[in-house]
Amino acid sequence: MGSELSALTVIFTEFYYWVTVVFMFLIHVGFCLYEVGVSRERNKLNTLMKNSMLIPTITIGFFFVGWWLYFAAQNGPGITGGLKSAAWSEPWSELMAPHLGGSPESNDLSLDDTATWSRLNGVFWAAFLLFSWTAGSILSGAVIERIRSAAFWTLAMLVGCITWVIAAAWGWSDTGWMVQKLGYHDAYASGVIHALAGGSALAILFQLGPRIGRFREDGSPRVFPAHNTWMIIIGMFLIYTGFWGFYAACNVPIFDINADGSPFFSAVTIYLTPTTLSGITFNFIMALTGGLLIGYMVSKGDPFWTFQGGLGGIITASAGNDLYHPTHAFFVAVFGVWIAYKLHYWVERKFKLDDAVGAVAIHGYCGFIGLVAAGFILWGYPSSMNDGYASINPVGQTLGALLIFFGLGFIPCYVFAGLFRRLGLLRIPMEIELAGLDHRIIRSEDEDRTELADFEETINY
Amino acid sequence: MNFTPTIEAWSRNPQDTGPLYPFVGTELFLSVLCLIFFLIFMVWKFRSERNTYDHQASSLRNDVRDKAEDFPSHFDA
Repeated sequence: MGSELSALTVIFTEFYYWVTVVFMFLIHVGFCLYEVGVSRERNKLNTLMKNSMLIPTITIGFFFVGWWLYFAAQNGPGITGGLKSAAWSEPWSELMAPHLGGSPESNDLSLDDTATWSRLNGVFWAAFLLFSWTAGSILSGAVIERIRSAAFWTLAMLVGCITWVIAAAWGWSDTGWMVQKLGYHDAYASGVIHALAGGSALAILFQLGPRIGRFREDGSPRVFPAHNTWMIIIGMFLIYTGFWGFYAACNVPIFDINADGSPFFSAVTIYLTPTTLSGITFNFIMALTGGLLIGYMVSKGDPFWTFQGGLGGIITASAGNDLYHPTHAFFVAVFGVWIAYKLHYWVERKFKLDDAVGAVAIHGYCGFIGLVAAGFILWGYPSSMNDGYASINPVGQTLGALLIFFGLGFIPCYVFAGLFRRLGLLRIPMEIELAGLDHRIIRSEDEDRTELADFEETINY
Repeated sequence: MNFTPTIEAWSRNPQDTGPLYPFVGTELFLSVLCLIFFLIFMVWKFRSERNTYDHQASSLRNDVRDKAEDFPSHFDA
């Protein structure tokens, strides 16, 4: 950081990502509230702990594997090259710790590495990590009230530390092979996070089966009333709030986009293509608006689907929200949420799938639709600043969506969840599901209350 | 492995300063320890969860059996 300009740029970028992490933490708070609110009274504490403890489990996996994998796997399985070297992201690297950016101790690192990554490694790592938690939380809601926590955390690690990271390396980096060869474009992660996590959740639901009593003998679904509607609503608002941080974290705030001429600084996407924070703010809010309106309309004013519709709208428009006009974002959101809503009920009836929070629809289907829509609307746009890369096109986007939803999302989770099911490690015993995962705690609290009441009665003379 | 403080004076040129944390050189060893701890946690969780659920399920089955013996007409229905 020899000049004042480069020092300001780097330290502002460092602070910018730090703030996005704080905002994105609210996504997890929101998911916890939402999920616990949807669960029944007798399962709420287990539901809370299942989701909360994915924070440490995914964090460990991401620290040791995920961050390195993001840089190393960008060439895909030998498609545009081999594993990339990324010494700054290895868990034992001196740059994965407080570092002032001077001469490296390790021979694997250069002075350029230390100058760049000493300030940005931790905050970039954390921003990506929060995306990993989000991926884990998306799974968590779908499978409540019957999955074993250890199996869930392992599956959440598979998605949060491996599969979404591979998807990001391939399609959400400026040199990923999908960007180069397919013209894949996914600016705010419709696909690499949402479609992937939705596909993963769908696979686990197939292996896990529905909650006892979810479907009547004639196959029609029963509604399990939420134990606390207000928790759900507040949770959704917190998720919306956290998504502002999610969007900001997908941008690099200051970047010279005119490398060959006089400096011209702009915000850029993860592909280092220009956008503006102002522009994506238009699109974020118009996508939210479109999603809320269609969610309210198709569900005839149901609060659950209205709020989910708002989130689904943002997710659908996210792939192209760096370049859309706000009306594009609006109509893409309307289209995506409408299709996702219809698909949710069709899949539920057809396959007897019990997605307790509609995660597959709102994240999986909306994310998938958003990718395909971006392929048509942004057809012909360059996918990157680099020469020779394929431009954005519907075929590349659709292939990318299929690869992410099924190849990286559905298949790995179907295999691992199937393995856990065979080993008897996936689902809780029927007796406990009927009594409730918190039945021991509830019984113990009842006994404590009775004992305390007896004691108070004896001293109340 | 360095057991003297990594930073002994802040008056040095910051551009020559790299790692700020102590015990530079132990990172790999501590990373392995951290991973081992985590693996122990996961194995413990899988085992304890299985034992707990087996015990609770058996206890709940016994409760149902006891109730069936106390109120046979209710359970026959």
